[in-house]
Amino acid sequence: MLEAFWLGLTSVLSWPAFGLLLLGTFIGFWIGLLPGIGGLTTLAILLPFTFGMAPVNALALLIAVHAVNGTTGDITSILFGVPGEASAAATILDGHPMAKNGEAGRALGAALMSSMFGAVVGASALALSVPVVRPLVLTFTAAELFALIVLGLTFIASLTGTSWSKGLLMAGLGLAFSMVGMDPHSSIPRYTLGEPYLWEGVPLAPVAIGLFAIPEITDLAVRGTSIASPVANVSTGVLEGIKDTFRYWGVTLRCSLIGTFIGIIPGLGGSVAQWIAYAHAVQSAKDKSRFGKGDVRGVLGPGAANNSKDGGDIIPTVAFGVPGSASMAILLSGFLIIGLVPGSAMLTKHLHVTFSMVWTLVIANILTVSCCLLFLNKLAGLSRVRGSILIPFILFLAFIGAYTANNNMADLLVMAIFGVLGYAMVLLEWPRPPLILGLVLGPLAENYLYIAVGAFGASFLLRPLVVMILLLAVALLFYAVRQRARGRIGEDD
Amino acid sequence: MRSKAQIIFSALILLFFLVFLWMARGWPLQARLFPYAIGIPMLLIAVVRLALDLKGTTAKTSAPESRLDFQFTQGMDAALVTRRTITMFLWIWGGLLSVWLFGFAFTIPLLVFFYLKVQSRERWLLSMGLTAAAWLVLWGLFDEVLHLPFHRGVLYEWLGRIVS
Amino acid sequence: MRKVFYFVIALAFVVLLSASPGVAADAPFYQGKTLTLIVGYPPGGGYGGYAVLISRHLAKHIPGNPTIVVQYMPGGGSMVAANHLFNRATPDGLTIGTVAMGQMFASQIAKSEGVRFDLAQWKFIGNAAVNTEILITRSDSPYATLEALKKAKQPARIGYLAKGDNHHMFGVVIEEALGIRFNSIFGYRGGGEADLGLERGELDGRTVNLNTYLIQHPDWIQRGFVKILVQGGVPDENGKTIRDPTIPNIPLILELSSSPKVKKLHDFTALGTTIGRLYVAPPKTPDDKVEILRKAFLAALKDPELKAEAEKLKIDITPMGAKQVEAVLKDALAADQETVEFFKKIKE
Repeated sequence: MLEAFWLGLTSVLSWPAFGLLLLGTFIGFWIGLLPGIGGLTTLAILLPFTFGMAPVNALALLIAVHAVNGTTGDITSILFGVPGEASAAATILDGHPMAKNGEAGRALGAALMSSMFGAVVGASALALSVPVVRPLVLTFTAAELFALIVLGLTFIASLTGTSWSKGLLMAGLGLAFSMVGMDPHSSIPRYTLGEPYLWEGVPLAPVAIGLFAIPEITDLAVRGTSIASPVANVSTGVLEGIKDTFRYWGVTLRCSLIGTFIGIIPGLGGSVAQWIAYAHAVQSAKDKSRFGKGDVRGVLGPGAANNSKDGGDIIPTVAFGVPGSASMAILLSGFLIIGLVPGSAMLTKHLHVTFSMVWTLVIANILTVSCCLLFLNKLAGLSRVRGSILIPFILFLAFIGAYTANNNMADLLVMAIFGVLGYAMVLLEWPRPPLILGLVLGPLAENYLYIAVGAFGASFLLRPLVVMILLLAVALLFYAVRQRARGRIGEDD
Repeated sequence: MRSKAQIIFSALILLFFLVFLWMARGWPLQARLFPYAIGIPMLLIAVVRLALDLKGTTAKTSAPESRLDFQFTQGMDAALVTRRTITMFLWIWGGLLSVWLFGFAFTIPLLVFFYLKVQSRERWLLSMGLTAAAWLVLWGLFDEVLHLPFHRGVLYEWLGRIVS
Repeated sequence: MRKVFYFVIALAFVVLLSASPGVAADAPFYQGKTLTLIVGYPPGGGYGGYAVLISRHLAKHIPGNPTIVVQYMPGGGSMVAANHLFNRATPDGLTIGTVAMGQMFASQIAKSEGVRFDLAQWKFIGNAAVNTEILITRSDSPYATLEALKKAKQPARIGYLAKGDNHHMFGVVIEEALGIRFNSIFGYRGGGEADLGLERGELDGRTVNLNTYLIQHPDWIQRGFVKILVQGGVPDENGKTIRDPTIPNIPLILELSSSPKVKKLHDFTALGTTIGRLYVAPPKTPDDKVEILRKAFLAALKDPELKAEAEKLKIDITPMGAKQVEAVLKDALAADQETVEFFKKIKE
């Protein structure tokens, strides 16, 4: 295994693999930055070019793109409140307020550094898990996955903020919206209003943009100033953000591990990681008062989880041919094009190729973060440009971001409708994170419950791992409720 | 104003869950299960929430430190805030309508230009220059390089149908 | 006055920027043009894979050598793309698409809400592959042979993606042919997840596409992890169903039962698997363009370069012209009311 480790490194550093890695890093940087083009579309476009390439070269290109677009996606989230990637939405919650406080540089530094940290953790997991990955993934059946989703849902308790009823209702709203779509168990379209467009469910990217970006844009228009309010003269720079990553190493590390785990277990989906990480960052903080207003831990958590998830994602794809996310599905067809078959061969005969992916992840991220750091402070300067010029461009980004998820005009309507909802929610103090968490976890909960019952009968609840996870969920719920009762969070009702 | 808005919002949420449950009534058990499992408790909580709002519990503003989500800028003249907010929503929905009717490619430069010139009263040169830049990105990157299928506007289709 | 002048200039400027550049052509129609191939699924899946492969070789068989662009329009099991291609896409010969015949057929027959096309009106371009469906079960389960399956006390847990899709229908026909019932588990969000379910012990078996199975699980085959119990077969040149030559020892469903009901059900469901990768053009596309596309399609599929790449990717290519597609469709549409009712009930 050690030779594969080194062979992987040397093959990535050789030419033309390294050149392709640089190219992929460059491409990934820009697509992560710009909303509208996602990693998914770009990988799909690059795919035909990999015909005829040697495996290590093709992978250097594809993995570099994939690795980096999660890193730079946080940039527009922080500066403009528009998620550059669907996976960067959670960063808006605290990242954008930091920009408004004049701490854009710090937020950017924190996001990037935690991204790199997460990438390294994810890549290490990929490397270390090689001997155990098959038994690990096989242990988590639908029953255990259901328990994990329930665990994830209890995190909502810590996100409810002032009023438990409002928080629960918003989670319920999210769960309700997640029921929209063609039900695979009964082949009945539910809540689809006669539109095949809705058969796949309410699309996540337009919802995230509408819910989070639109209220921010509106507020910017109302304020009439630049993003960073002129009063805030604290322009702590990028360096501060970097220090934060290590200052709060506990949050960063735990969220990296969360992201890796969510990536490894196929079927949890990519968008779950950032919200669970965010919820965990809130939950584990003693002083929660600054979350939502610019707490750097709210940036560190999602930042780390997004990138570690990328490393984790590769594991089930490589070991089982089960893509951990939509991008991985494309990568999978990329594997087939270059002649690699996922399965035990990737962990034995072609182990060095797997390791070359690990190295690509790490190197691409280090390169990106290093380059970014050089001009991040200038980027942060954008938060000083007057809003009246920025707004049409931010709108442009929002429109493109919502539209290109499915190339469907209806997504813009979804964005606008959730924009109104998001605005009302902020105005009337109804919390938004539980809604997204419900939306993301809902279909998974239902699905896994039915499969678990179908496969194991009701006794699935008695499986040892399921019991452990559910007990953990109960414990966390208890803890969160006790915290509220102690008055750590202000009580409304 | 605030508590009236709260009551309306809570009432709408209650209505939402009522409709949510009602739409599921004819489905087979398997399809109904989760919607009911979510909808019924939520309905109860929504009733509690509405009752609390009617009682006026939210009349007292919670301490700012306790909110977990961002809040709008305080301390500005309410009329100005309302006016600017409505304007912003008009731009967003107007843009949406324009994309639907005239297509994406037409709307974006239009939106950028008119916002800069009319709304923000920027100088001509700046407005045109920035619009050209936006167009360049839209066309050059998204269309030429990525070949994203942009919605072409129903107006073209209607005209097309009339013509052919 | 000046302000108005500037305003007009600016407006003209904006209008100019947004006008699409037109291209005049007095050479072959497709010269200098872009042909768009719309895929009804997200990138990375089977339809996308075929589309990318074909798009690499189609252009040189079209006079004028147009640029071919692949666009993804997922949703509703390719229904969103089908609706778009039928109603909204410009029928000028510059837009074609690949959609799921089985899904369209089932939805139209069952009169599902949201169907906005009519199969009889499409301009078919051709079909790129014939799918053979197979039933596989774990070798270490009590269902490793057809006999065991028939005699088993507990119904076998068979995993499906969505109720009413091709794979499920195949399973239903098997149930009818063998006179048994499966414990059908729906909801897997992709073949990969279902395969994982099989490996984890959630499932005893699956119904899969033979070609996909061969590509994705060579290690299953090597270590004998699963057994293939029955196949749907492929049509020969006369349209009769025969055993797929890749698996000549596996019995056909039709061999398991001689009941006419089973035969009718089989023919009805075969459409979706026989027409495995369908390519269509919008209904009003002019016939001369359709002819060019049909010829180019078949030529591309027979192109040795494409075949070589398909070999490498282990993508199975079985070219089928538009006439053949129409013939197969006609047969399926002639299904009697009883069969249709049976399937509508299944979907509930």
